Parts: sequence; C-alpha cells; structure tokens
Amino acid sequence: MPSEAAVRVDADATFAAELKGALHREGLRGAYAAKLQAEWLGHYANLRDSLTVGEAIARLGSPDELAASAARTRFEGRWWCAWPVASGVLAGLAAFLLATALCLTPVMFILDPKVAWTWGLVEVYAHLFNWLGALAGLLTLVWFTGRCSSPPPFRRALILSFALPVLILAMDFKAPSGGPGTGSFSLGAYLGFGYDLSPVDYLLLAFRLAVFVAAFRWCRRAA
Amino acid sequence: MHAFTNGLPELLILRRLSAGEMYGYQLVSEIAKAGEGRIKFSEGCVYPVLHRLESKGILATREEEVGGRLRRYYRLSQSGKKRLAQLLDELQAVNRSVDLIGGLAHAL
Repeated sequence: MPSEAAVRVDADATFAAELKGALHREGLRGAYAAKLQAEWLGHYANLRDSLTVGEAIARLGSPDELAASAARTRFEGRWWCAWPVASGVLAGLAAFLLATALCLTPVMFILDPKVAWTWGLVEVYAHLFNWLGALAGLLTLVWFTGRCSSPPPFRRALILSFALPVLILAMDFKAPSGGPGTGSFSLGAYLGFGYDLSPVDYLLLAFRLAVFVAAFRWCRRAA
Repeated sequence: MHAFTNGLPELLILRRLSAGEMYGYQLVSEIAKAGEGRIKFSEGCVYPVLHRLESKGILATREEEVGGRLRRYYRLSQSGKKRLAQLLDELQAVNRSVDLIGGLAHAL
C-alpha cells in the first residue's frame, strides 16, 4: 500500500501535469506559460501545507479554469486575437510569400534562372530548395509557433494556410527558376500542357505525393 | 461601469501593493482578509493579472528563494502609483454618480 507521502506526491504531480495540458490547450506556451505554471504550483504548494488536494484546488482554481482565465487575460485587447481565424490565414499566406521571396527565389535565381529538368548538380540543388526547402519552412513554422502563445484557432489557421500552398506548390515537378510554384506545375502534364513525364518522374511524383499527405496529416495534428 | 468592473481586480491588487511589496500567495491572502470573505475568486486567477501589469510596467518584480521555494515579489512602479491614483479617481467618480442617482430617485 503506498504511503501517504507517496499519494500526495502522485496527486501533486497529476495536478501539475493537468495544469501543463490545460495551458497547452489554451495556446499558452513558452516562457509565459512556464512562469505562470511555476507561480501556480508555488501557490498550490503553500495551500497544500495545510489543505487536502481537493481543498487546495478549490481555492486555487481547477487547471481548466486557471488556463482559461490566463488565456483571456493574455489575449484580450489584441486585434489579431479578436479574429483569430482571419488573422491566422493572413499570417500564413504572408509567411508563405516571405518564405518564397526571401529564402527560395533569390537562391534559385543565383543558381540558374532557366534550368531544365536534368540530373545535374544545379537541378538537384534546385529541387532541394523547391521541395525540401518548402517542407523545412513548414517544419520551422510549426516548431516556432509551438513556442509562442497564441489562440489555438489562430495557430491552426496560420499553419494550414501556410501548409496548403507550400505543399501543393512543392509538388511542382520540373526544375524551377525560383521557389515553390515557379517551375512548371506537374499537373500540367496531366492537363495536356506539353510536359512528358518518364516512369522515373511518375515514381518521384508518387513519392512527393506520399510525403505531401504525411506532412499534411502531421500539420493537422500539430495544429 | 463595465470598464470599471473590468478594472476591479487590478484596483484590488494595486491597492494592496501600495502597502509594500508582496509575493502572490501573500497578496491573495491579504485581499481575502481585507475583503472579509465577501470577495470570492479563484486565487490562481490573480497571477495572469499580475503578469499583465508587470508587462505594462505597472508592477516591478524581484525573486527570492525562501525555504526551498522561489518567491516572486511584486511592487508598484512609478507608473503603477499613477495608475492606482487614476483608478481611485474613477472609483470616486462612480461613487458620486451613484450618490447623485440615489438622490434623484429619493426626490422622485
């Protein structure tokens, strides 16, 4: 039978874990969430010196109640939190344009502005930036927004509105002259725009499609 | 009135801190004691308000470890003192309005 002290430690650890989960669900992350959690747990420890777990939580507030109150205080009065979905979509599209304009296009322009689809060093490099670069941008965005506090609908809208254009345009198959979407779009081959794809091309296309689906599912989970 | 009731937690916190610096648990206990049980609130809800006031420069903080626990002490900054004076003025204005309305109602 566990000792009273062990039961107490378990109950306190459960409360701390629930608090952390509630903060995460409300979109509170990073240093702000850590500071809040530390103070709540300090307060809880003071209450626990003389009260039971139930009494201490009743005085301090339940994890959900605390996190909701913190989110209200944190986000109220911020214009972009008033319309989180609309501002998230705008931020996602802005991030997409930024990633294309600042990171990818200049690099590709320097490498070769009119590159054709052959397996030369430049072309391999082009695909790295056109496809893996876009995916790296997406991963960076998910990682970065996971460390900043924002209303969950804002983050979800931001990631999805960045992911959709980036991942669709990263399917761009012919070697590009710029970032995502600046080369000849692979669907052009199916629509009869004059692109002939070899069996190897189809294999690569299928591989990209698989990565597209996996990345998109991961983004939805992360958002 | 809505703006005033929204500012009530802030007023209570600033008023208590005008007596000197306090850490969160101490501040909550002081507010509860001063309210003689009439003010009901979840004690943890004070911390987001404290952090917001700190980020606005209304409160200043320092940390100290006491008995193995880290305490974060809050005190009024210069702008915090001005903010408290402003909130008290608003409270007096509300009181005067209530008195005036009460007087009019009595006259009717």
